Amino acid sequence: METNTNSVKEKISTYISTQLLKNKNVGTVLETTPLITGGLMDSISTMQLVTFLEKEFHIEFEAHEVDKDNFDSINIITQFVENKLK
Amino acid sequence: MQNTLNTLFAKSVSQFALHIAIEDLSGNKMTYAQLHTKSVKLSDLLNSKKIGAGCRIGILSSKNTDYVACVFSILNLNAAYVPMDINAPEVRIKTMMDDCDMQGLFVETSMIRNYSFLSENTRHYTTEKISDVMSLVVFTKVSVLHKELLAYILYTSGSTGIPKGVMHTHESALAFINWSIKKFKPTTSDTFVSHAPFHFDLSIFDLYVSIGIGATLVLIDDKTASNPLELAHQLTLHRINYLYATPSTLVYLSNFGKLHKHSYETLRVVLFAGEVFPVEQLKLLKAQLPHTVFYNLYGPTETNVCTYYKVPKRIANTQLQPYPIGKPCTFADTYINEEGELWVSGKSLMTGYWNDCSKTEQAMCKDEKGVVWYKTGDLVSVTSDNNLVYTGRKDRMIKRNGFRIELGEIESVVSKNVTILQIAATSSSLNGQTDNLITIHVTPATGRVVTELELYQYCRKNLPPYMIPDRIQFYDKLPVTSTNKIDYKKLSLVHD
Repeated sequence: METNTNSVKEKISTYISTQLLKNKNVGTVLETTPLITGGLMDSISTMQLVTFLEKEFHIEFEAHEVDKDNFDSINIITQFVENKLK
Repeated sequence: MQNTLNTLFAKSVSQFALHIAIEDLSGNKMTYAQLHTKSVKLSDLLNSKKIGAGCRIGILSSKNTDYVACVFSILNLNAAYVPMDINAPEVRIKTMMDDCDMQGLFVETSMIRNYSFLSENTRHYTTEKISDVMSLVVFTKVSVLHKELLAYILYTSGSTGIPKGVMHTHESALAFINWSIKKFKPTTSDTFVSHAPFHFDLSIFDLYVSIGIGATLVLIDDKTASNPLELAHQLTLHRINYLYATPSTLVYLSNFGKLHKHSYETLRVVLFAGEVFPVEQLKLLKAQLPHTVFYNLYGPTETNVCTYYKVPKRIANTQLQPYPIGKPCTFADTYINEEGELWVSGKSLMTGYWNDCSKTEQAMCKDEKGVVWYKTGDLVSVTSDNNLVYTGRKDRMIKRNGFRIELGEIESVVSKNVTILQIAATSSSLNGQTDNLITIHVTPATGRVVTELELYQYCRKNLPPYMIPDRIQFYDKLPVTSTNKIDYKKLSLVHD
C-alpha cells in the first residue's frame, strides 16, 4: 500500500501548494508544516480543500469532521483521507 | 415606544417571562425571567463594587448565555459595555482597555491565563467567579465617569494604529432597532440567530430586535460560525427565521454548506451588510433558499444601519452589477457632497469616538441648521429611481468579511518592529471574490536581517487575525513618487 499512500499524499500536497497557497509566498510546505495553527490556511481554504478531497477521492465529510485537528498538516490530512478510503 | 435598551428588555420580561430568550449550541437555555434574574444579580454585584452609571465595563468571552446576562447587567446600571474580540492579540486588547479606562471586565474564566495583565499578582485588580464560566475583574483605580449615558462602545480599525472606540447611546441604537421591528415585522414566536461576534455591529440587530420583541436568540459559537457545514445544519435544527450576516459568510455558506441537503422553509428573512454581494453569488444563494426574502443593509458602525434595499424576488439576467445600498431608513437623512462622498445624519449616529476629539471632528460636522452629519468616506452614485449605489472608498480602508481594516493601522503596527525601516501595505481583490489580499512591502533596517516567518509571527502577535497580511515583499528601498512619497500605485502593481 506504500505507493497508494504516496499518491494520496502527493495529490494533497500538490493541491495545497499549487492551488490553496499559490497567492501566498510561504516558502516550502513540508509534510509536517502546521497549516491551520501555523496560519497558512484559514476557514475558507480549509473548505476549498474539503471540496477538493470530496471530489478527488469520492468521499464525504461530516460537519463535525471539518475540524482543524483533521487538517493541520499534509500528513494528518493524508491519514484522515486514507481512513475514509478504507 | 421604549427609551432605553434595558426598558425594551424589561417589557419582554414582563410579557414573555417563560419564553426562551437565549440558547446556545450546547443546549443551555435561559427564559426571559431567568435572564432578568441573572442580570439583576450581576448589576447588584457591580453596584457593590461601586461600578455604575457612566462607567465602562468590558466583556472578554466567547458567546454563551451568561454573556447576554452580563450585557444587560451593565445596561441596567446606565453603564456602557465594551465587547472585546477574543481572537485579537493581547496587546490590542490591552490598548482598548486602557483607551476606554475600564472599571471592570467580565471575562471567561478559562481565558484568564491567556492574558498576562490578568494573571499577574498585583493589587491593581481583584477577580471573582460569578458563574460556572465567567469571572468579574474589578480594577482598583479611579476612573473618569462619562457624562453622556452611553450604551456601548465598539472598537474599529484606526489608521494611526490605535483602534477607534465608536460611542453609541441607547437612543442611537433604538432608532435602528425600532425601525427594524416595524420594517421586518418579527413576532415573539420567531427564532433569531446570533452569527456575528458581539464586538461586530451586526450583533446590535441580533440581540435587541430579538430580545425587544420577546423572541428566541440562538448563539452561534466561533467554531460553528466558521464551519459552513455545521452552520447549515444548525440553521435547520433550530428552525431559524432571521439570519443577519456578511456577504462573505453567506457566500461561504452557499458554496460549502451543502444547502441542498436540508430544507430552509422557516428562514423568512436574510439580511446582509458590511460589503458588496456579487450578483452571481447572490443568485445562487437565492436559488438555494427559494422561500427567503433578502435585504441589503448599509451603514458604518458610526451610523448603525442607515439605508436598505429589498432584493427583488427574481434577479433579472440583465442585473450584472451588485444591488444598490438603497434608500435611507426613516430615521436617517443622506447627502452626497461634491466629491461623491456619502454623508449621513439622524438619530442613529454615534456621539463620537471615545476620547478622541480630533478624529470625531474630522469625521463629523454640523451644517448651518445645526444638523450633525457623519462623513462615511464611502463614494456613492444615485440611480434613476433614487437608490444609492456604493462605488468605492475615498481613503485606504478595506473590508474583509465585513471587518474594517485601515491599511494605515497595519503599517503603524509593523513599523514598530525594530527590524523594519520602511513599510507600506496594499490590497488587491481576486477576480469575482469579495475578499481582499493584503500585501506588505518592507525594507529591513540597516544591518538587520528579518525573515518572512519572523515577520508573520510578529503580525500574529500584534494584529487581529483578519488583518494579517497574505504576502510579504522585501525591498532594498521602497519606490517613491516625484514628491518623495511612497509610490503606492507602483507597489500595487506587484499584485498582478
